[in-house]
This record gives sequence, structure tokens and C-alpha cells, in this order.
Amino acid sequence: MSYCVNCGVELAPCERVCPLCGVEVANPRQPYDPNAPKPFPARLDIFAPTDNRGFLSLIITIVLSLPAAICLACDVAYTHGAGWSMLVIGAMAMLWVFIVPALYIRRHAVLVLGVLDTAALWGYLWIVEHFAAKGTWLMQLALPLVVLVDILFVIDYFLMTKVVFARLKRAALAVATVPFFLVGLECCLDWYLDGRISLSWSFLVSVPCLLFALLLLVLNRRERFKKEMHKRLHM
Amino acid sequence: MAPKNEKAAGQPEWYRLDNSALIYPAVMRRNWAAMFRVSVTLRETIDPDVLQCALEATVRRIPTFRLSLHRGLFWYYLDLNKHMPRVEPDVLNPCKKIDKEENDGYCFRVRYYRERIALELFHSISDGTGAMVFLKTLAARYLTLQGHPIPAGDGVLDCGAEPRPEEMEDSHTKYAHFQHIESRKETAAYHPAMTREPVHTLNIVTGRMPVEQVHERAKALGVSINEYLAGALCFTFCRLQKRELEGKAGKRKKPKPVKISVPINMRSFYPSETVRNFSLFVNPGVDPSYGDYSFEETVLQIHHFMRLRLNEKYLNAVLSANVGNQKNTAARLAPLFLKNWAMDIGYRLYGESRYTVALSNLGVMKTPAAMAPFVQRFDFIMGPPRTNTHGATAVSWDGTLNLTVASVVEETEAERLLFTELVRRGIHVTVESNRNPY
Repeated sequence: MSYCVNCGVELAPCERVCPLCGVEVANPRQPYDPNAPKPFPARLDIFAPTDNRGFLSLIITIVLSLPAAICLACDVAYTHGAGWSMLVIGAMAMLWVFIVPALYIRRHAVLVLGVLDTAALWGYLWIVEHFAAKGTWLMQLALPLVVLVDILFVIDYFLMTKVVFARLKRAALAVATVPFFLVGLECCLDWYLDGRISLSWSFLVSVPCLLFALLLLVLNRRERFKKEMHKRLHM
Repeated sequence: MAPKNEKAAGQPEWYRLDNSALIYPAVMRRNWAAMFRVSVTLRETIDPDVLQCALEATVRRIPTFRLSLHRGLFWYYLDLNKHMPRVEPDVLNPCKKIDKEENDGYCFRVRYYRERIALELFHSISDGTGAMVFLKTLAARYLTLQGHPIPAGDGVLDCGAEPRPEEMEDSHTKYAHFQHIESRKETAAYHPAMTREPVHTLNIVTGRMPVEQVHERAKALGVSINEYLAGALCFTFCRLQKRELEGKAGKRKKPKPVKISVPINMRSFYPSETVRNFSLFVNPGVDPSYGDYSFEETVLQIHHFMRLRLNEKYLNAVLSANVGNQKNTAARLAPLFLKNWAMDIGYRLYGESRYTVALSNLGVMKTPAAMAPFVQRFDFIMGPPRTNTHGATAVSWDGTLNLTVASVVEETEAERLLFTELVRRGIHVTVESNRNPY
């Protein structure tokens, strides 16, 4: 029999260290026997992950349906179906598409959700154009901008998952994408407003962005700086 | 042989929860339920197939275990389970909450490991004494199937006989006589500030000690073994609190009372034979704000408190208050979700916050003489508390007292102070634990 030199209790033969204080068994006449029967098996009984997605989806659907239904009822009852309620219904539907599929889609989630969210956004813009602000802005300004954001997002996503892995490089890539968006934005605005393209302000904003991206790439090569940043900014 | 889903003659289709059981489903959480475990270690390795047969015979004999918990509009209720429970291998961390889908909706599980049969139970089904009747009947049936016939008696029920109505009764309602209703006002108790483990963890340390030595020390102070152990536990947490306050320089230093929740088996006061819940509890303790109590003073404080409270008249007044709340017309008419909400608030205000640690002592186990040679030991473990940190249990068999401290915290300081104090008082303690990684 072995005793804990610290606590004075006798230790069961299966105890490698004293369970009360952690001091190791030190008995040359009876060293710890790893084959001694243990009081409990090693198997852990852990909680199975619970799946509340169905319930959560139901709650989100009810919460989003409520304002939509109230607005529709008011629209029909007081403004004789003027159509303004479609803006609220469309907004709620778009929010639903933003939130609920994200609970379920696991494979290629970013790309699939990107496509779904873009479609939902297009749908909502169409509702706005159809029911509230008719004009050419949808085809000449909004849709090209949405397509531009989508293309830039897909390129960045592909590069970040397949080519660029270092955090600072990824940050540099994200910052370097901004000038492309700004140039595209100015092109769309010029085309929509004047019918011709003349780039000016987007270059002024793009230069600092590109310089900042370059700075991030340079810093990425400094191991000491990276370690220091990791130490100070870790979450 | 009767079909497996056939209920015994005279057995009700469903049961109301007894008075003690009402609180547990209401305060249940996604990852927590009031669980406890009793186990018996035999002298031969357990055969799971034979244990399964023994379990099926035992649940037919004790139908109040063959139930699953359901929600009604006003109350929870226990419904007859059409399936048979399954035995399963034991685990490192017992007393995890039983999920509804697990084990076909049963509120208990039977586990085996080497020579040990363990019964883990949700408290709404039964208390420690009832659980021990089920476990002993199961073990006796197992031994009988293994070729060692065990007669009924000493807490072992005859699996060949029909269940008796007295075993299934709600003794709370039967024995509450409402002569006086005692409303207990309890102050908040001390709770140690320790590091909580991940949710599924239950750290168990068992100290095995000769009953005779504990009895001698208790007798020297003129107290019972239960009071002595409660005193030792109380003294331990007083020391913990003192250390904690000494470490808080410049902060508020007023200590809180250290109280031990001691369940009282009401079958000692009434001729009840129920295997369902029939227990109350008292919260003896000391208030260190009056000054430092020595070990002997602490034990005597516990002793006098218990002597004052443990009489039939006082306990019946408490029982009547509890049953009265249940019978209150407004409470009965309130829908279940409102009751759950109210009971949860009540539990937060007057539940675990009113005591530091619980100590449940099942006393000396008795078995039929033919069964005793096949039994090595009995164990009793309290499941993880909801907000408190520790739970202590004791059970004696064959001259050895097993004092188990189950905790949900990383620190072992409480267990260490308790067992080293007993060693200092001349009690030989052997410890074993599930803490050390294998």
C-alpha cells in the first residue's frame, strides 16, 4: 500500500498520483502498477450536439412574416393595394434568404450562399424598381454594380482558399481589391449619369489602397513583426 | 412469459409526479438534470446478457421505474414505457443528463463495468432509498440467474410477486396532515469561487474508511456518524471560505454561513414502503461571521440543529407546506410553462443558493444473508449540481464507509481539506478517483 507523503491518505493501487494534491506515488517497495484495476473505464459520455436549426428557422420565419403580414393588411385595408407593402415583404423575404439557408448549407457554403444572396438582392432591387422607383437605374447602375461585387468576391474567395494562405497576404489581397471596385463604381456612375466614362477620383483613392496592400506584403516578410502582432492582438 | 409491453395487473396507466419530484423537471436544463447514482460491486465479472434479463424482470417487478416523463398541460406526468431498458457499459463521467431520445425515454440507465452494476437515476423517479431497493433487487435477480438463489427481504423484492400498491404510492400526500404549516426562511450560503470544468465533467473522489473508526470519533463527541461527516464537511468549507477571504485584501470580508443540505429519509418516521421519492432535507451549518468555529464546535452545532429539527411534528409541518403548495388551487390551474417559470425562479432563490454542499448518507446497507458473500461494496454518487460546486454522499457496507465527493470544478482543495482532516483525527482513509487520466 502507498500513502501520499503530502496528504497522509492511503492511495488505491490504481492511483499514479494523489488525486487530492497531484503528488506522485513514490514507494520503491510498491511502485505504481499501470495494470491495476481502475475504478472507472476511460470512455467519456459527452453530450451529442443538439440540432435546433428547425426550431430556429421556424422562429425566424414567424418573426419576419409578422411585419410583412401586418404591412400587407394595412396596404389592402387603408391604401387599397397601393403596393408599398411589397417593399416590406420583399425586404423580409431577402432577409429570410440571407439568414435561413446559412443554417443548413455546409458544402461550398460561401459560394452557394453568395449566389443565393445575390439572387435575393436582385429580386429585392427589382421589387423596388417595379413598385416604387421606375427607371433605368436598375439595369444601368444597380445590376452592374452587384455583378462587379460578385465577380470580385469570387476571385478573392478562389485566391484565398487555393493560393493565398498567410493572413497578412490575405489582408493585402482584400485591400488591393478595393481599387478595382472603386474604378468599376466610377465607370458605372459615369455611364449612368453622363453616358460616357472619364475616370478621376477613383484613382486618387486607389493609390493609397495599393500602397497599403504593398505595405502589408512587406510586413508579411518580417517574422518578428508578425510574432509581435500575434502576441498583442491574439483573441 | 408475458409480452414485454404488458403492464402488471392493478398497475396504473400513468403516475402523477410526487411532491419531491415536481421541482426536478422544472429546473432541468439542456445539459443538466438532477441525477444520482448507486452501484453495487459483486465478486465476479458482470455478464451483460444476464444483467439485461435481470433488468427486464426487475422493471416488471418495480413498475414505478418503467416510466417515461411527459409534459401535460398543467403538470408533468410519468407514463408507462412500452419498451424495455437496455444495459450499457460504464463511463468515466457518470450522471450525465439522460436525453429524451436516449434509452427509449427511460429516466434511468443501468451500466456495468468489471464486477460493478450501476444505476443512474433522474430524481423525479425515486430517491436514494428507492434507488437502492431497485439496485439490490436487480443484483439479487442477477445472482439468481447466475445460479445463486437470493430470497426476498432486506430491501430485495421478490421478482416473482406482483407489485404492491404501497410500493407505488405518493407518501407525501398520504402522510401530510396539515396540522401546522412551516414556512422556512433560509439565508444565502457560502459558495466557493472555483474554476468550473466543461459541462460533461464530473470529478469523483471516494474516501474509504473503517466505519468503526468513524463511529468511535463520532461517539466521543456524542453525535451520530451522519452528523460527524456533515460537521467535517462544514468545517472544510469554513476553512475554504476563510482562505478565500484572506486572499481578498481590501475587499468586503464578511463571511457567509456555511450550510450543509442533509436529506432526511421520511420512511424512518412513517411506515411507508414506497420506492418513489419520500424525503425532505434540512440545512444545518455554522455562521463564521460570529467567529471561527473549531472542528468540535462545528460538529456540535450540526448535531444540535439536527436534534432540534428531526422530529415527526416539525418534518410534517414542512411536508404539509410542500404538499400545500402543490394543492393550491391557483397553482393547479396555472399552465405548466408558468409553473416551470415560477419553480425555476424559486429554485434560483431558495434552492442551491441556500446551502454550500449537500451530504446524502444512505447509512449501512443491508442485504439478505445469502446475498452478502457475493457483494464487495456499495457506492453512492451525487450527480453534478446546477450552480453549486460539490456534492457529497456516503454509504456503508461490511465495515467500510465510502464517502464520495463529486465536483464540477478543477480544484481539489475541498476534497483534500476534508480527507486530510479525517486522517488528522486518526481515521484511516484510502482514496480513489476518476480524476487521474489513465
